[in-house]
Amino acid sequence: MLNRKIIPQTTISDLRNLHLPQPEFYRLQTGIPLFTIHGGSEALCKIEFVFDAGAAYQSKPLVASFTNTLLKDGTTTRSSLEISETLDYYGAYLEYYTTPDTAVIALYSLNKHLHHTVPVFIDLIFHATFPEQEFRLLLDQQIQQFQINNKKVQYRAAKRFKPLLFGKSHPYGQEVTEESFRIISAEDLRSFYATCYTPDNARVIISGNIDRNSVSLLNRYIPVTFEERPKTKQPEYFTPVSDVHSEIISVEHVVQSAIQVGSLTINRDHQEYAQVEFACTVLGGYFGSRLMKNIREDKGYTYGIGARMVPLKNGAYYTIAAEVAAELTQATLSEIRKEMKRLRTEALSIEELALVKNYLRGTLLRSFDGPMALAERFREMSDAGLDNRYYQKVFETIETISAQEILYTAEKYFHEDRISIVIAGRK
Amino acid sequence: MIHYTEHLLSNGLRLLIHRTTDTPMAAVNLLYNVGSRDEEPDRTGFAHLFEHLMFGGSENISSYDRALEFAGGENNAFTGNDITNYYLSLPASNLETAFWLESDRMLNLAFSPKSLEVQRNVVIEEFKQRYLNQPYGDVWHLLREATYKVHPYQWPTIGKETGPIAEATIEEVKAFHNRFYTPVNAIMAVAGNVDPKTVVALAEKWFGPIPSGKPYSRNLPQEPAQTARRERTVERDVPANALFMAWHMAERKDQRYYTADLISDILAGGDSSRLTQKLVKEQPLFSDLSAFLTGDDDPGLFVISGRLNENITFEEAENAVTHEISQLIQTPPPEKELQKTKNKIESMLLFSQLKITTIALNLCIAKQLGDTSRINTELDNYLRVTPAMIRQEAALLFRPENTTVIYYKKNNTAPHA
Repeated sequence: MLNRKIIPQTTISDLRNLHLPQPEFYRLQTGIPLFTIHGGSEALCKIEFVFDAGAAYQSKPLVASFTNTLLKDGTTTRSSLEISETLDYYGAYLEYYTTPDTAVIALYSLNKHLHHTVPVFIDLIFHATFPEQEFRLLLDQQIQQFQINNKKVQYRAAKRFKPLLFGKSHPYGQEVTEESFRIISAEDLRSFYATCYTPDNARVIISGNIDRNSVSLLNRYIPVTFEERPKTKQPEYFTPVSDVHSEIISVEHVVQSAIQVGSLTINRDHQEYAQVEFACTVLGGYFGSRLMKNIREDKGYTYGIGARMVPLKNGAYYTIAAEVAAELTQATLSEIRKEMKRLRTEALSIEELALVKNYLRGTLLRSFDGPMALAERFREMSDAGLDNRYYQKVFETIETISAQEILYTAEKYFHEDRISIVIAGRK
Repeated sequence: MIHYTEHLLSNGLRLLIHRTTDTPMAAVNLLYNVGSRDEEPDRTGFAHLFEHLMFGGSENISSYDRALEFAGGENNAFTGNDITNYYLSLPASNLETAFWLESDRMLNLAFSPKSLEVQRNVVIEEFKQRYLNQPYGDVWHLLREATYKVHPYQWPTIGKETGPIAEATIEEVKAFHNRFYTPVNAIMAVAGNVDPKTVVALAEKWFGPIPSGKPYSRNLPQEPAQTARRERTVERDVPANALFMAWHMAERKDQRYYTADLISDILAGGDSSRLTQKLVKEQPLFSDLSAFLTGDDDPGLFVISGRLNENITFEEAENAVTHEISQLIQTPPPEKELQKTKNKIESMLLFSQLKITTIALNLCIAKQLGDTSRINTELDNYLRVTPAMIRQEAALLFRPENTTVIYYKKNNTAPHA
């Protein structure tokens, strides 16, 4: 008779034995660094261009994301329709987004169609024209989207959070308002494009089942000579004042309030970062975390609550966010504080410590699984100016951290009296 | 081409295995043949509430999530109109943990009153977060209610309202488990770095002893053909007017389903599609516009939805959509345009096969539709569509009497309901 009470043996290999494949490195003829990560059995790949052209580099809100979005809508030789017609015809698709630090544009294509899709992809990256008509369309769409988002408490709380932490004059503290849509022009995008989307500001990552052809196609179509362009202007980062702020955005007639709390913290290059990230996971980084267990699974105040680290290139913060029953806003806040206090005063049991370690081992294995996942990890590292030594430190920390070290880390970095708070909804 | 093996346990559990050595992980997918269409009209939302309770502890395991996380795994689940699906991935070395966990909650739940009470609240918060506290959040309630008069697709998975969720009892939960959560009513797939022999042995060990249960024979009232156009106008506190148009279409296994899917791509799949080019770009009536299928097993809906630009009337917007549709009814699409949509599907299918969790899910779905080999023949169903079939399907689909329209009007003064 099978005894179902007996837990099957589990083993997860020590992360320190995990072999992280290194990407191969090349330089394209124009000098652009190219990294390739080969793997997978399907004949397809992702070609990704990364530029230091995120929101921190813009002189006013929206410019970075609008520039990135409109790359595909017209070049010196192709109309927006010709571009989409070709990419759609060959079943290729684009992915594009900006982060506070970078702008990414990626092509997903079957290898057999690369000789049709790559020329168009390279053209839109290096010869975009930002037609007035396309700009107007995007502007109207984005205004409407902004108005819709403004009806969402979660969006309103999130939008205020970074300005509150960094201050509005900091490159990471910019905030989109109605006004932002009135003062932006297609000319702003063209000049941002001219300074930020340059070969000396670019890197390329190809991942998937890489066809030798794809590198030669890039070399063939990336222009070798560029007209002289102004150098990318570096944002003026400064150390924000670490103050405690709180703000209530009152919204009538809502059934839920959005809560976002957190604080500035150390970054990935700091020797204690891996410990801080570990402690953050204990608090709210997985389904069985303390916040989820208490506020969702024990009390049912919310559909979900989480804590996470947000490491940017020149600053970092952690944040805890949830949408909760409006009448339970204060009750939830007090539970969050209680859990933060518990994190720095009550040591993890042996079971909880083992649980978080195993959870993180599994998560890391997954996050390095497959060429495209590896490419993503590699990009995050290169964006932050880090290398594999960062992950070696993370692995070492996960394998060796003790309950005492977590208490020490929580005391130093997660004090409930030092959090800034934004509430959108009812207080 | 996805390689797989197929097995049947003596208690009726169907098992599918796909092996790949490209990954250190394994994915496990368990599909239960029960969805919101199987609910009583006065107990809607129950299948989804039950899905939450599947995480509230089983007979021998107090916390599913904790045990899985301890094995380095992560999981989630979703409830649809047709099925309830549970999936997880974990290091392949710990595969047995998945079998232990999934078999225990199939065998029996702990039926803890506390878990029921908490999950009722969690689901009500989910209802608020996704359907009440969101602009346009109630549109699926409106659309389903207008399009289905008889078939249980008339309510969304979350349920018609929160009332029945708040009232659910432990007895109902037990009865639901007994009726639907049985080997004979489930399909399991394992994909990843696994040895098929070991997988079969694990299945025999953990699921083999579970009593097979009674096969569930579904006998749902089918929706009669719609005989007159339906319209509904609502006013809500939203920033822009939105138009939703829906037409009854063919069931999932019908060739017509694939033809309709390609029509949705011709109309709004990608920036070069007809509606996007003409009605969003050339003559900007809509700020965004999409065409898609609800993707249901029973006859589902073909939907076109879009938000209107400032100063555009519903009439202008709808006429423009109707005009594009009538073009398709009058003239078959050029071969090249049809080829474009087929290429897109081919690419999408290949990219989706990069993930073992997707492969495991798709194996279960193919089996649920009656034939596992569908996972490899899906593309052929699209490739055989001809321009004439597109024209014919458009004529059948977009009949005026088969049309339902929701005019979702902005009203900046009224509070959101």
